[in-house]
Amino acid sequence: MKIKSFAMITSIIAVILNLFALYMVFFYAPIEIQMGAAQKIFYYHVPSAISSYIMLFVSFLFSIIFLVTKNELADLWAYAGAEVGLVFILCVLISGPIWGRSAWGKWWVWEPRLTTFLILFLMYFSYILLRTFSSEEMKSKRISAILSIIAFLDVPIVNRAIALWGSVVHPKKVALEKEMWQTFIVSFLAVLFLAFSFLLWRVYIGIYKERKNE
Amino acid sequence: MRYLSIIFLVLKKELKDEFRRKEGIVASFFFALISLVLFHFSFDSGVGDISQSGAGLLWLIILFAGTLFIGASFKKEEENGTFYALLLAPVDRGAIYLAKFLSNLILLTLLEVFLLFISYFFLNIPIFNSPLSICFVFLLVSIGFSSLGTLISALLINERGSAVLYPLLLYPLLIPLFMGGATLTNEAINSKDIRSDPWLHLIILFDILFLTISTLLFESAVEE
Amino acid sequence: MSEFFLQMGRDSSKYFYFSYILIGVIITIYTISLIVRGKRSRKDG
Repeated sequence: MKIKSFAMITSIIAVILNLFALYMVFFYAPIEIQMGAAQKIFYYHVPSAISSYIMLFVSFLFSIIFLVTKNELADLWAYAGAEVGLVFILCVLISGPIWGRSAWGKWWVWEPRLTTFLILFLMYFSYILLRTFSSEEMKSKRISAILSIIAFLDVPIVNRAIALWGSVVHPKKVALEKEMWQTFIVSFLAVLFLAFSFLLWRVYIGIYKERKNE
Repeated sequence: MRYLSIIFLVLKKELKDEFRRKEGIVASFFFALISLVLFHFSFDSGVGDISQSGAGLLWLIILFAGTLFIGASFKKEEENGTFYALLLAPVDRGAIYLAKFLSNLILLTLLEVFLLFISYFFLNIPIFNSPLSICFVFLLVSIGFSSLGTLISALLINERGSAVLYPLLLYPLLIPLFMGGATLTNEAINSKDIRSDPWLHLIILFDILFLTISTLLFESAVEE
Repeated sequence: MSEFFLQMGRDSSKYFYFSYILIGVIITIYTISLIVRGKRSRKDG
């Protein structure tokens, strides 16, 4: 099985990179002077956010492919992308407020990017709900594909709307020291590989299940 | 031309049917009235002038009351099994979608006129400060609501648990639209000029994007 | 303002540990769920 060996290789790389990244986060990266150690949440918070966007994009792309070609494999990829995306959205939503509590003294601030992720969470949670409730028929897959496309197209509008609504707390530019950049790049790769290994395993399980049903 | 006449025919049938059955209209109008009364009592003590925060309430009521009939757009076809007959008709399915969309838009407009009138009557929300801007805003938000609402309603035909799933799927997608609606309505009530407001551009973008996407995707939403 | 942040910074490492533990928990739970689902589909299939 080709996809299995791919999944295996990516997960091995992901584990090594994550161990390395965690070591760098805990011992190598300097402590930021203003926010203290809590700033180190950044090294997994931001990569999780970027990875979740990438996974949702995967879901969007394969949903279009599924609608055009009716290839069931594309549907599996779309489902997997949304599910893994949701896991990383959850990571962002959990680490964000903790950082906020430390930096701003409040757990939750109605702030553009954080709120965008909350709404993303709602949208993709309803996608997963739809998939769990509905049967494994062709029709449900089509519905899910359409929902995934609409939800992804809605993301920039949601983001813009919330930016119009409130103030900006996230910095536009981040000035980082050299050690910080190095740590960030390693942790970014680590999270990205983790996300892709999840994606591949999820697709692999999906294929297995599909074959069983036949 | 043929496309337009099909839209018109289906629209006429839809509206006739809707006014004959009346359940969607009566339910949503009555729901709007009840919500308004309830909102009045839950905000009466101590919040102060409801006309200041009234716009947000109006949009909440429209969202919930509109769901009552937009969510049931394809209910009667589902019950009578006539949906496949509609699909078997040798017409463009985009036209069927647009007709359903227009019918929902018209009903939504009626609901909004009624709601604005009773909110002026009961709560003194000053809707006559800039009636043109208010009409414009309500029309734009209704287009977005009706376009996505009709599409999601079509998606859930014959789906298990569709009554529960419908709001769960639709409401998160509509959040930016209703944020814009509430902000612009508030500004219009306070006689501000909304023509160059970025919210207006956002809502127009939303309408164009989702009306186009929905018309294109409806075909694959209903095919068997 | 920066004084406020400095003061917060002194005991902010608990937030740091807390958030990494929670992220770890999420990732672990998802990994376990993948393993369980994989095992189940293999057993049946």
